[in-house]
Amino acid sequence: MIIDAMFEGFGALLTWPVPAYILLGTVIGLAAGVVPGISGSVALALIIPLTLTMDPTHAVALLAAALGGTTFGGAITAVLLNTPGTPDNAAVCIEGYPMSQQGKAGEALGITALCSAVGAVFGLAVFTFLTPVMREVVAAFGPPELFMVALFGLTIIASLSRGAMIAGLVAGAFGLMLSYVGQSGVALDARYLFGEVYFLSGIQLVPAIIGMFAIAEMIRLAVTGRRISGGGYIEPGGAWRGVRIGLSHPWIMLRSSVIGFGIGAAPGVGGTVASFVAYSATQQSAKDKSRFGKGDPRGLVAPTSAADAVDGGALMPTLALGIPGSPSTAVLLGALILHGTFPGRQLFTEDLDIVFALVGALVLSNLLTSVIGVATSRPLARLTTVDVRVLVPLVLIVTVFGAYAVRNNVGDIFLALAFGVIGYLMLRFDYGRIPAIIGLILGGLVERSFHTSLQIGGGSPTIFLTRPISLTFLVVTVLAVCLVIVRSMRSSGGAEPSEQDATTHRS
Amino acid sequence: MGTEKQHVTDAPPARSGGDDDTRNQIELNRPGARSRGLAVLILLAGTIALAAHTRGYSDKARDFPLLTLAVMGGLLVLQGILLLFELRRQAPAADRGPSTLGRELKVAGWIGLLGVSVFLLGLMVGAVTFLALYLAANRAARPVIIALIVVLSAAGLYGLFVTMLQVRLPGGLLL
Repeated sequence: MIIDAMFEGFGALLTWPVPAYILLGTVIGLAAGVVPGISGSVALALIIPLTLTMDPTHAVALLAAALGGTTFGGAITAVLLNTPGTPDNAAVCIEGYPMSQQGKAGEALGITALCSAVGAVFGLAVFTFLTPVMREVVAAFGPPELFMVALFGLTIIASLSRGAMIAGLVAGAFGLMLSYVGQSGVALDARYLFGEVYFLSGIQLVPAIIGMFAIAEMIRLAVTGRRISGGGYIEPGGAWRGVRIGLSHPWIMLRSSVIGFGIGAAPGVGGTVASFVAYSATQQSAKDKSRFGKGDPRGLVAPTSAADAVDGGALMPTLALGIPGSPSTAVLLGALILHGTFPGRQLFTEDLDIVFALVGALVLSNLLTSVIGVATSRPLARLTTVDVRVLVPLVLIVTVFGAYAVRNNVGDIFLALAFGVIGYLMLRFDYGRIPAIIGLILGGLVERSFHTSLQIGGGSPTIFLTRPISLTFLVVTVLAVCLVIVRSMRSSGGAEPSEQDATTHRS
Repeated sequence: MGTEKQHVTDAPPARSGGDDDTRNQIELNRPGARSRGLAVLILLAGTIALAAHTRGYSDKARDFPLLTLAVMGGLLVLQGILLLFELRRQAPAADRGPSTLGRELKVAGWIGLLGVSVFLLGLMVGAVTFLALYLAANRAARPVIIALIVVLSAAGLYGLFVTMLQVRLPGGLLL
């Protein structure tokens, strides 16, 4: 039955006009990913009205293709401008942007294109393989497991702060504090509003990321008057070299894809955490760590593979239980329901062909975006040589439009500008911006899942120890922290001299 | 002293100088010990202000989110350690050079102008006005090219956000 549905679903993608829809969706997704603030969920929301009169399979193909294109689109600006087009691409900036500064933008885009395709195909292949046991796997993740996954995610702060540990931890705690602004997820009490109703919904992630990365970077460029790519130099033939470099790290691609898929399957954790965890794992396991933060291709392979593998994982809770694994899949879920396709048992019995059509369209769109990425890498890389006196104001106005467009809220523009100044100050004084963003992303999830777990466990924290997956993540978290401490002590001889040389982890 | 360069690039300098803007390129100096200590103090004051702010909340709001309090306490302790560290550090006494600080203040002024122009003139008119002023003030190109960039940008932004994405752009206080 599954094989029949697979042939039916994949076969539907070859009938006209589905290929045209896939191409259209891919281009829309790619374009949406490039504009900061316009993420996959916004792109899908815009497309839904176009699909109302379509056959469900055609609609699914168009929507899935748009979803597949956004992650790579967001990585393009992360590499070229240190401006993640979507939050999932924030980790791409750490190594991708330094590569652009060294004139290796084409190479970085080649790596990104390859790993994006490999990660997505891996995630969707595992999704297909797990179809028969989907519901059981997803149901294993409750609030205690989510809390432990999020807690594990927070340990990345320590590994990313190598070289400036205390400042990194302060930045992480600062991000956590920011995540507590607004209504508490459990008791619904409002905190840190300072009399402003705007803060009731909390610090919005997209304007915060736009400010901390895009606007802060534009401030730095304006202050230095320096082009992104050093003296305007770009290494020729970079994209194919990037593809070859990516292929020379199959283990990192595989491990990161597994991480991306696993974290994607946990509802509400998302691609941003997955890409940071994958980056951290790669950094921790590397023998030579000296190039990390300065444009190490390994650090680019990991987050791009993970961010795209998330889609396959996120489809599991979305389609099996109706619990969206990410904002994009939440909108996708709404679109499916609109077309009379309901998640759960019905989808995995009667409408299984639609599931495979969705998977096939995602695979094709990811492959297509990567081909487009490699083909256009050279002209795209030229962006890094544009005169900063023109680039800075142009990027600034696009980012304020992007910050506004997410919620149509003027307050988000001013929040993005404020975070731009904060981000620049953090850059100047060596407070890592990545730890702050991780804290901001994970704070809400940590708090919500912690309190819900305690409520489930009757107020006893032993609930975290009695569930196998939760306990496993707890052990892994403790081991990760111990590893960071031991390595830090070994490298510094027990002292804390690292604060004096924090140039490697300014991202 | 105070002139240690931030790593901006270690790319091969394949093409050098010649352009107008290369003469204006500067390096960011590392902040001195006093600036760094001041930065920690400002952070610390902000955290204490946040902590003080919670005193006005209901008991439920103040006590129930245990993690909030734990994070705040941890942040205060970490900042205290960092402050001690910065005070003890044997770092260059000299702070940033006046040229860097001057440029930073100038750019901060431009960011402020963007905010004010959006607030007063609305998003579309405010952003485009900012673009025109920035390009003109920095002599980024010939006037005709600047006008072309501004018109094309306005058309592009309108086409993308208003026509395609159907975003309702906000008006300003004056427009």
